[in-house]
Amino acid sequence: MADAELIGVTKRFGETVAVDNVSLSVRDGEFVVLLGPTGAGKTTLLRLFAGLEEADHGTVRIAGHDVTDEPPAARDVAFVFQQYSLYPHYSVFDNLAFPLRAPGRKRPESEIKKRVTEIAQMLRIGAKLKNRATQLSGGEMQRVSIGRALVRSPNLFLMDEPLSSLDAKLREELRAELKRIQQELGATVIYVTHDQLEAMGLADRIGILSEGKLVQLAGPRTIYEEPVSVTAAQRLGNPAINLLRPGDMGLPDGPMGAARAGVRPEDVRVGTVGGIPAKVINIEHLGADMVALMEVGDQTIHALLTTDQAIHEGDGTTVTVRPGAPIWFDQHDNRIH
Amino acid sequence: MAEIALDSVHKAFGSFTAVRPTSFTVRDGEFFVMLGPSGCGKTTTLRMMAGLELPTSGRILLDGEDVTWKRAAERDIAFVFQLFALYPHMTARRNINFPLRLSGMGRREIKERTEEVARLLRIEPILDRSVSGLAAGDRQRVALGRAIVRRAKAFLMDEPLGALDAEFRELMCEELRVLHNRIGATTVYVTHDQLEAMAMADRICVMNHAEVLQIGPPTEVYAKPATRFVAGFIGAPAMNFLPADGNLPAGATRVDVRGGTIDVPPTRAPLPTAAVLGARPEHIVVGAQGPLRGMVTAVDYMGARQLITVETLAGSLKVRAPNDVRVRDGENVSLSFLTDHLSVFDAATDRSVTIEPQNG
Repeated sequence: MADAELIGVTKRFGETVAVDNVSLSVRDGEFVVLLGPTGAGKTTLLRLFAGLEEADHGTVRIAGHDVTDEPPAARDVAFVFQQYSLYPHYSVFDNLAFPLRAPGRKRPESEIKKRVTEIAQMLRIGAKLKNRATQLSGGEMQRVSIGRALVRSPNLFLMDEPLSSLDAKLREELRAELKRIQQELGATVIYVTHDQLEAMGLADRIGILSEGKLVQLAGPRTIYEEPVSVTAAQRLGNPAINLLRPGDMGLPDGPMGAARAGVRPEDVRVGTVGGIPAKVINIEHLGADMVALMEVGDQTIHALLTTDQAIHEGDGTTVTVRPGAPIWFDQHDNRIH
Repeated sequence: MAEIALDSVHKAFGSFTAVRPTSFTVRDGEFFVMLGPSGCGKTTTLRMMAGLELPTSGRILLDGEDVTWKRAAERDIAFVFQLFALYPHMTARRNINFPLRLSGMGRREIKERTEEVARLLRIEPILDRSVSGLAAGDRQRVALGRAIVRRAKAFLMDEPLGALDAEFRELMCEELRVLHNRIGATTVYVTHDQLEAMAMADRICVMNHAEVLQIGPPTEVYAKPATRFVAGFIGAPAMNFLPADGNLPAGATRVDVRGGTIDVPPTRAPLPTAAVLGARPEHIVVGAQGPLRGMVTAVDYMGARQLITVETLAGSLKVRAPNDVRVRDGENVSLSFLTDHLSVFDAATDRSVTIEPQNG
């Protein structure tokens, strides 16, 4: 395993700047998740590490070496794609063994067998080694395709939404397994997703991307509690952070230059004495929690509540914001400390 | 007014039973969600309500009138397939009133109806703009407008949000539900996504293997699941299941799991063989004292909450805690359980013995 780094990398496609002067340093053994909406530049960043795209400016370093001009094969990275691409006519064993039998990397068969069995056990597909790839369920196929990346011990794993084609239950299960395996192997992983729960569940650090720029790179808790900008604040948290005007809803005016206040839904108190009048326009149940959508003056806000609160659609109620909760932003949407 | 009743409806395709004899009533104005894994029979049930499939036996009543043998077009029910496909070269207005123009309605009425729908959806200012230039949220509202402009008695929707990405799906869930709150039309909505069901439904109907397992409001189905399948299918992360000793009479108030004895609500039926204790992650508390000990193996930060994995003799348990609870990997902790919220299942039948026995 190794560290990996982008230094001032820019990538354009015609007029579009897909990656805009990004510097990003991933430590050996670290799990970094790149999170952002479609078109933020996540996948392009990953492809720049892999050598599938060439940088217009800047340097790509892997394991301490400048690989900017190296072809993909020389970088020793393993790529896992969203769509599993298995050889349908091969057995699971042969699919997993494929990278070890590649010309130039060929290992003795006894070693291959040992390694494939080991990885298959780790991914809990040990019993399926003789099956054809086409006889597997979707979840098993994606395990095999992750396994095929794991059999080698590359410098770096690059994963592009590998779980997004799976259903919710399976995704949750594989997410936990992926994290466990990464820790066991001490693997360096750069992982792309637009699913914030996946990002928070997997990442040592999350890189928030927006319009080709790296907005913030930090641990999940830091980004959630101390976002550097409105963009970063909106990326984590479900429902998303409420954006209010200073002075609204009993908020103070905030520090000098405050233009907006971010209030997390769990910091909105409902039914408190002396609160601002509000009307409940919808209740969504999430199981352990519920989300109330409320009209307050000309704004709507979300509150995250526990299910023991007796509150219903159409109710009139009051809201207050927990003191100390607002995160203040200036007119350029940057956080004011 | 539109109430949809199924009376012993059963559907077989050859020797395959798609829906076992099923009776329930979708109430007027209700948002009714049919939830289950793929192949459970939920879409077949919906298609029978719509008249796109005929039941093998049983009756379907729309407002008390037997419509079992009426064709789809005669039922005055709107079946919403592709909620989100718009005609990109048309204006919002022409997209919305497309179904009315097809039906040959008069110009003035079309105009009135379209504008009424636009008011409802708060999209009057964009009515005459081309949909290709609209923001995504507005496009979805236009699509919704097209679905409701016909004023059908009921809307039947088959995974209408399935093609959207997660973030947008959440937005649209809320949008759909808020719209429903305004117009109050009976809606039957099919999905395999439990979060969607929980978020939108007045009542959820959970199906598995061609059988209805439970019908109830989201909070009830979540808090008092009738079977182990329902308990496991609803809620993420899923309910923890701990194998427990059986041979207990009705009225038992504690069960033995490996490593400890847990207080439970009084059981309403005997447990002859083995039992399974069900505890949702938010109903387990990490602390210094409690009936079960374990070691923390993972702490996942989830924003407002965190998820703590604890390895115990009874298995690996997930605990949901506020994010100000600070524990570390490798720490030894005790777990206590919120007795009133626990479920006990009969391991032989998978049925809950915590709730009142249900018929069917």
